[in-house]
Order: sequence, then structure tokens, then C-alpha cells
Amino acid sequence: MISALTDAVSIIMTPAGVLMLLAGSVVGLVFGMLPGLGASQAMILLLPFTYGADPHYAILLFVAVMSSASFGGSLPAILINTPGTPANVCTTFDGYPMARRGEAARAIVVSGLSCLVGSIVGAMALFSLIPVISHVITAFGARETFWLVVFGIAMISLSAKGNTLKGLVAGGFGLLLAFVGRNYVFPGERFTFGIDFLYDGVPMAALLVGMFAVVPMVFLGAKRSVVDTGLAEPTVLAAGFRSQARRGALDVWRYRYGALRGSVLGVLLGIIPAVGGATASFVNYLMSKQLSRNGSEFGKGSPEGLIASETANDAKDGGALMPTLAFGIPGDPNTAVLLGALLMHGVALGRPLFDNNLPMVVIIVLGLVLGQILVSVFGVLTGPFISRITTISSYYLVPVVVTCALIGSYLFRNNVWDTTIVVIAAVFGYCLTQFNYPVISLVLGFLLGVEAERAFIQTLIMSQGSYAGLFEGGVVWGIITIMVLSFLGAWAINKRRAVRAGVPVTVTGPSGAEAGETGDAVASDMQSVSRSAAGGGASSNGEGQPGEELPGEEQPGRPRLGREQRMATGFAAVLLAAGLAFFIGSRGYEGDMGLFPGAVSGLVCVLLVIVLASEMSPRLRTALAKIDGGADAFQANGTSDLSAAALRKHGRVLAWAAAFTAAMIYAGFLAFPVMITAYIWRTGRATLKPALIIGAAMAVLLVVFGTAAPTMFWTGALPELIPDLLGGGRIPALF
Amino acid sequence: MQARFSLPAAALTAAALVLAGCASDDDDDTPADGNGPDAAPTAGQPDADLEFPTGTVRIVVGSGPGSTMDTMARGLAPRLQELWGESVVVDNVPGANQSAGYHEVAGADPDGHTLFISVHGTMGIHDQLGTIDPGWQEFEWFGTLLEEPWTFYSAADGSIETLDDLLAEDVIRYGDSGYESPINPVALTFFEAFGKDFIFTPGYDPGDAQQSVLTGEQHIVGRDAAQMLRGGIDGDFRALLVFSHEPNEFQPEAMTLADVEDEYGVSIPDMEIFQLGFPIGTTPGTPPEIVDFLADSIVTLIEEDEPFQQWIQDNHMVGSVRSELIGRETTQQKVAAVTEQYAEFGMDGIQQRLEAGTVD
Repeated sequence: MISALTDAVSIIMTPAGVLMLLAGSVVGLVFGMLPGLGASQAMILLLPFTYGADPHYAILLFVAVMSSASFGGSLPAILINTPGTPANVCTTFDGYPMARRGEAARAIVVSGLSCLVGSIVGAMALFSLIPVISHVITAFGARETFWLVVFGIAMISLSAKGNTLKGLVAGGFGLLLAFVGRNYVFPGERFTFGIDFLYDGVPMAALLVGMFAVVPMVFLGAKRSVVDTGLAEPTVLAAGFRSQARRGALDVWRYRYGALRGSVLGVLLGIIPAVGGATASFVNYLMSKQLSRNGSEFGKGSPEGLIASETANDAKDGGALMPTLAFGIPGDPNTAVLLGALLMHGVALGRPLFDNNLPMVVIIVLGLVLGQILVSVFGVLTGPFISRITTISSYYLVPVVVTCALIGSYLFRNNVWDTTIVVIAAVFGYCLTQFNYPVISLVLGFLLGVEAERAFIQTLIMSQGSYAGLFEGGVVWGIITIMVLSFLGAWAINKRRAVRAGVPVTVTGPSGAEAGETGDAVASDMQSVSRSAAGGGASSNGEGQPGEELPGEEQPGRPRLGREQRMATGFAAVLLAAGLAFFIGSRGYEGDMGLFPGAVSGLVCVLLVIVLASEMSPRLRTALAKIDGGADAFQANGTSDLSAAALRKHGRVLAWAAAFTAAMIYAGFLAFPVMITAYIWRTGRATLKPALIIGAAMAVLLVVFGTAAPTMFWTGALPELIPDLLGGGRIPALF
Repeated sequence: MQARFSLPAAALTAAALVLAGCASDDDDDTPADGNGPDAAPTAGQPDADLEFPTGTVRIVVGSGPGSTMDTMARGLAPRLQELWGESVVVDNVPGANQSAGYHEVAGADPDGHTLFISVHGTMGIHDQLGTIDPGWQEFEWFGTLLEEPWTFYSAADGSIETLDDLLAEDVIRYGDSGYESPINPVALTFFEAFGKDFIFTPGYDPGDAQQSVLTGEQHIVGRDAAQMLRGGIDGDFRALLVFSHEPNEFQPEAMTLADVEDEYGVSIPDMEIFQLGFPIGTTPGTPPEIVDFLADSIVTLIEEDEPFQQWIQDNHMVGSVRSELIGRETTQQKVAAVTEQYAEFGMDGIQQRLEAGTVD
């Protein structure tokens, strides 16, 4: 352990290590501040760029991003009442009122130190697990791993309140996508349609980039700026920065027990798959409000409320990393992307990680804390100024992010066809989002699909074909029991809420639309969180009162329910057809090759029949929603907007993404400066000058990149015009 | 206000991302021992008249970082870079059980600037199954960088302490990556020689196969000694049988094939396919003088380069990395021998034989 600590410190203290920490903290801060973006988007954009780098440095970068994003999100929450990430909604309740009475610096210091306390407790919890983890993991063979994967997907689906069926469908499609390509158990390939570049499966980086990075851009691209500046009311720092900072530090010291309690709660909640920062933050906020002698002050600018929000939110990272590192089961989107990063960098998880690569674990632990320290210092010193980055125009942000996404997906394995998967994934992810199928369920299914099938088949082989072998052992039954209890518990809570609310749900549209839920404060809060999470740019309520209905986003042209219902039904039908295609395809494979895909696609089809029926029948939808936790989808996903105007805008951004891809395939990376300029000029209706400046800056960066890393640079399929920079590239055969 | 902060923000985002890209490339170029990429060529480099290399040399590895092939490539790259005075970069091209990397190198310009490190057994099985084009023997192999016998391991704290214990099991359970894994012909030879029934479980990642022995799911796993030692996990396992008539210096306690013959009266011949070998080669059609130059360069490192010799020692490869395994003809002979033995073994029906699990 000591040598691992020494090794980890020596890696972190190298110039490259310090650079990764700094870069991760700054990128995390910036992405955290931008509503609609967050740590997962930052990590997924950085991921392919780190391929080939030393895994220790790459993972240090990601952990620093993960650690710093939530504090980044608290800065606009405090200063302009706009949470940067879903987990920062509670921050607005007390942070913004403090800022409005001239205590912005105090609030920022309270937030920074609270995040730090949370990070330290989370990291310590993770660190303390190291000596025992090997023994725990040894109890998990193939059958236990199979059930753990099932548990993870089930919990993620369950967390999509009112959307469990669609969550399971999305998770099922994630599993099915994981089966595309070379089979990892039997010789041969499946579902590739003879396309060569799919032999190694759907490229993970392209899928993640398309779903997590490009889809948010589709929604952002439909708006003029990232934050609705009409709603955001920037506050300014009052004089007396030092005295405010001192008072902030004293606040955290005064409420230290509450901070520790919130941190421990955050760790425990983080361990449970699917519990994100938003849930941890809310649960601790409400609990602290109940326990505090000054509970009535919560929501009016109470530092204690701010501490409650921030500590649990940051501490949950340490908890979420435990199942991720020990079993490869991520707890939330951030750890899902981190899992992808670990896999891409060839880092073995589970016992091999803790036995043979302990410095990596220690780097993750230290990265959580050091990244938080850096971002706290940086944020406290520069937060009020740098948070104005949230006023960035989407016309500038969207093409730059799409460019980085496409370059990144190419770098993953230097195959230019992968960029087409980005566009396909973006379109699919966009449709899923619009029709309220949780994308995170699909991603988790995709990441765990190979493992799920492998464990399933291995268990069957070892039990010589007996399905009873899947149900042997105490650990297996423990997991099954917890899973069943979770579903029963969720059902009981939903039923109680429905009874308390009287008329639980009034479902009139396919997207859940007009929900008349009058549930309790947590439910209301959670809906608000989800809304701002997905929407990006939704402002919190003006006075920051928890429990009040937050003003929703403007929904222009909304809704023509008949048309929306037809669209939702049509999409479910398309998914059903895809599910059936997988099912039929599975039956064509010999022996056990088609067994697991057949079982999964069969289950998906059954679920989709129910979803399809519910999309067609409002009565059935209402009945399902009663069982499933209140309103369906719209509450779980405030991004959905199926108005004709929105569809036109979204379609335009998707078309641009496709054009970027086509231009890149033909003209290489140097097509991007031209495309960026064209996008800003055409879409932003700006004068040509800013468009040219950004295009030229990107051109310079790309030329530097191409010169420094020629083997990573795609020059395009056109005849060679500039050696090693433009033209002369060879497109791999598609079939 | 909006434009003022939007422009730097966009530039900052892009710069951070591109910075990360450059950083990763730098890491590839940085020699492990700290020698700079622009170090001058040494005086005794092979065939000084030959103008080679004339640019960056890529060593393609058909797996992700961390494998033995990748370790070998990253050990060679900085030393070759110093020897040649040109950049040598390692490029991981994982996929299709190494055949993606194979095809990438096979399709490169035949000028010797693209090298490939692989596993003899894996490529031999691909060749038998017809999943690589051009064929294995057409590739310009010029050396076997590392060669070690396969070894059966059980869990150190498990019930199988000796080969007797293993043979006492009604059915022997073992697992590995897939039916085309090079350990399978080795294991099948053993089971058939002893007439033992077995259950083979495919689908394990390398680390998971070892883990499955520690969890008790499997009785044994086939690995090489250097890999166990390099991973620092040799203490968790017990070496039962090394597939060679000679004892392995890293696993002296393991039985050899000679011991098996003495103790059980079971004769298992020493075969090329019982060796886990890592060949290095380049694109078919590369001029012979360049291929020979490449081979001579490797020999120079093994015999004369002290930092490389130290690296071999640090990575438990002493005795496994040998200059007599380097050379075009030597390697082609090895390839031919392995091909013949796999053909004789009959790889076509290996899945059925492994699934049956019962020895006739």
C-alpha cells in the first residue's frame, strides 16, 4: 500500500501529471459551468485524445475533470441562478440568495470548501476499501457477475422515474448493440451485415461521443445562447473579498458535523447504481433541513443549506467509484464514461486492478482530492469572472464541440468510418431523448453487454447447460433479493405518493406532457432537477425556494398532441421492428451464439409491445404511470420538444453534424475550419469576422496537431494537396 | 459582452482538447529511460551504407496497452530510436484477435517502416482458419523476440497443489479467451495424453482467466512465467506443469514433460506449438536487405545495448529473449514448423473437440 502511494505520488508529481491535473480541473470547471454540459461530456470529448497515452496520466485527467465539474456547476448557480449541472440545483436555493445580498464570495468559498470536504471523505472511503476489496471480489464469479450486471441495468432503469419500461427497453438495446461484431465467447461475428469496420463491434468512443456530446449540442444549437440571458441575472461581487472568504471558511467549520454527515450520506448513496449527484444532493439537503435548528432559513441564503447541497454531491463520486472499480458496474453517467476510459486504456478492473495496479487506484483517490483542491482555489479566485463563460453563444460552442467529437471518434482507432457512427448515434440518441427513453440506460447496457453475455454463457457451460446454475450461491440470491426489494420498494413509494396526491397523473400526450402531479417535495424537486439537467439553460426559481414548482422552459408551438402521439407511436414501432430484426437474426446463429441475443431481443420486443400499446392508449399510459412512479417521461426529461419549430431547428443541427462528417471524410481535419466558419456565419447570422477568427484559430490548432502527431491526423480522401495535412488519405474498405 | 467571452471560451475548449491529444502523442515518443528522440545514431549500427530508416518507424501491436506484445514494443522503441536516430512510435491497433493490426501492416508501404509484433500461435491459428490475408508465411517475419513454454497454473491457496491433485479431479475445468486461443492445442494434447475429461470455458479476458482460478471456478489456467512475474501475481498461483522437457528457471518447482514421462509414463513430445513466441515482422514485399537490417538491429540491441539488456532483466525475460531467435530464415523455419504442427493437430475441428470435453 505504501509503495503504491509512493508510486502514485511520483506519477502525479511529474510535469505530465501536474499538467493533467491542471488541464482536467480547468476543463471540468468550464464544462461544469456550462448548463447542458458536464463532466461526462468533457470526459467523452477528451477520451479518444488520450488513447495511446500512459493510462495513469489519462485516468488522472478524467478523475480531475470528474472531481471539478460539480464545483464548476455551482458557480453559475450561485452567481446567475443557473445550475451548471443537475446536481447544482440545490446550490441555487441558498447560493443565489447569498449572492444577491452581496455575499457571492462567501458563498463560493462555502461551496468550494464543502466540495473539498465531500471529496476528501469520498476519497477516504474509497481508499479504506482497498485492503478488503480483493476478498470481496473473490466471491464474485461468472454467475455473480451476471446478476450484478442485471442489477445495475435494472437500477438505472428504475431510476428513470415513471419511465422504467422505456429504461429497460433502452438498456436492452444497449445490450443488443454490444453484441454487434466479433463474438467474445464463440468464434465468428454477429449483426455486422458484412461491414468490416463493425467486426470489432460498434466503436465505443463514437457511440459515447454521439450520445453524450453531440445530442446536447442538438438541443443547445436550437437556442441562441447556452444560458437564457433574459432569465439569468448576473450578480456582482461586493467589496471585502477577504472578509467574505474568511466568513465562508468559518461557516464550513461551524457546520462541520453537518458537512461530515452529508459526505458520509453522499458516499453511501453513491455506491447504489443510478444514484447521481442530483439525488444525493437533494436527499441530503432535505434531511439537513429537517435536522437543522435553522431549517426555516434553508432556501433563504443559508450557508448550512449550501453546505448540505455541496458535500453529498461531491462525496458520492467516491462511493460511485467503488462498484465501478471493483466490478465494472458504473454508478452514474460520469463513472460510466470513466469505465469506458478504463476499458479503452486496457486497465483491468476488479481484483487484477487492486492486486496488480494499486497505484492506479491510489491515483484515482488522490486525483479526486487534488483536482478538487485545484478547482476550488481556481474557482474561488476567478469564479465571478470566468463564470461569464456561460454567456457563450451556442453558435460558437456547437461547431467546436462537434469538431472535437468527430476528431475524437476518429482517434479512437484511426478509422474514418467511425465518424459515421457518431452521426447515427446522435440521431438515435436524439430520438431516444425526444421520446423519453433514458440514454444512460442504453449506454450502460452497451458497456456491460459483452460482460453480461460472457458471464451468462460461462455459467451455463460450467453448469453443463443447466439454467439452475444461474441461481446457485448465497451472493446470487442476495443480489436477486435486493433487486426485488428495490422494485417492490419503488412500487410501494409510488403507490403511497399516488394515494397522497389524489389524482396522481393526468397523461394526455405521448411525451407525458400535461402532468398534474401534486406529489411531495422530493418528487417535485426531482422533476425540476431532471428538467434543468436535460434542458440545459433552464433557470432555477427566482427566490430559490425548494419544493416550489420551478418555471419550466418555454415550449414554443407546443403541443399538437395528436401529431406527437403518432410520432411517439411510430418511434416505438420502429424500435419494435429493430428488436424483431435482432430476434430473427439471433435465431439464425448456430448453437449458443444466438442464445443470449435472442433472449434479450425477445424480452425487448415484449416490453416494446407494452410501450407501443401505452403510446396508443392514454388510459393504459395512465395506468402504467400509476404503477411506475408518477408522470411518465416528460417529467423525467424536460428536453423533449416535438413542436414543428423545434424539430426544424434540431434537424438543422443534425444536418450540420452530418455535413461536418462528410466534409471530414473527404477533406480531412482541415475541412473543419471551413465548416466551423460556415456554421457560425450561416446559423448565427453573425458578421463574417468572428466566424473567420474562430475558423482560423481552429486551423492553426489543427496544423500544429497534424505536424506534431502525423499518425493521428486524418488528411482526407481527396488527392494529396498538402503532404501529411490535406489529401492522400486511404479510406478503409467498408465491406 | 457575449462575443467577448464567447470567443476565448471556444478557443479554450478547443485548446484543452488538442492539448490532450498532443500530450498523448508525446507520451508515445518519450523513451522509458529518458533518452531523447533526437539522440545521435551510434557508430556500430548494422549496415551503415543502407539508407534506412528515412522517417518515423511504427511498431504496430495487435492489442491494447499492457499486453506482453505492447510491453515488448515499448521496450524496443526507445532503443531502436537511439540506434537509428529516427522516431520509433508504438501504435496499438487492437481488434479481431490481432488480425486488424496484421492487416494494417500487410497493407502498408513495403519499405520496412511499419513493423508488427504478434503471437506465433494466434497468427498460426488465424492462418489455419483462413482469417488472414496474405497468409502467415507470406509475411516478412524476421525474428522471435521472446519465447517461453506454456505453463499450467493453479491457485496457490487452492486444493490443487500437484499434478496428482489435478489428475484426481473427475473433470478438469479450465478457461481462456476463446476456442482459437493458442493454449487450447496445448491443453488438448495434455488431456488426450492422460485421457482426462474436461470442461473448457471460453470468453475470459486474460486477467479474468486468472481470476477464475482464484475464485475456484476453474482448476487451471495456462500462462507464461514472465507474464506472471511481471504482473507481480506469481505468489497467488502455483506452477504445476511447464510444457517443455527442460525446467524453466523462473518456475523451477513445476514439473516438466520429462518429469511427466518419468512419473506417469506418459510421453508428450516437445513441440513448437508448446512455446509462447512473439514474432516481429514487416510488410510483405519489403526488400530483403531492409528486413536483414531490421533483424541485425534487434540482434545489436540484445547483444550490445546495455539499457536494453537491463530492461530485459527488469521484465523477467532473461533467457527468453535470445539473439539466435532473430533472423529471417530462423523465423521462417519456425513459422513453417508451427504451421505444420497446427495442420497436423487439426484446428478445423477444435471447437467441437473443446465443446465435447470428453476424451475418446
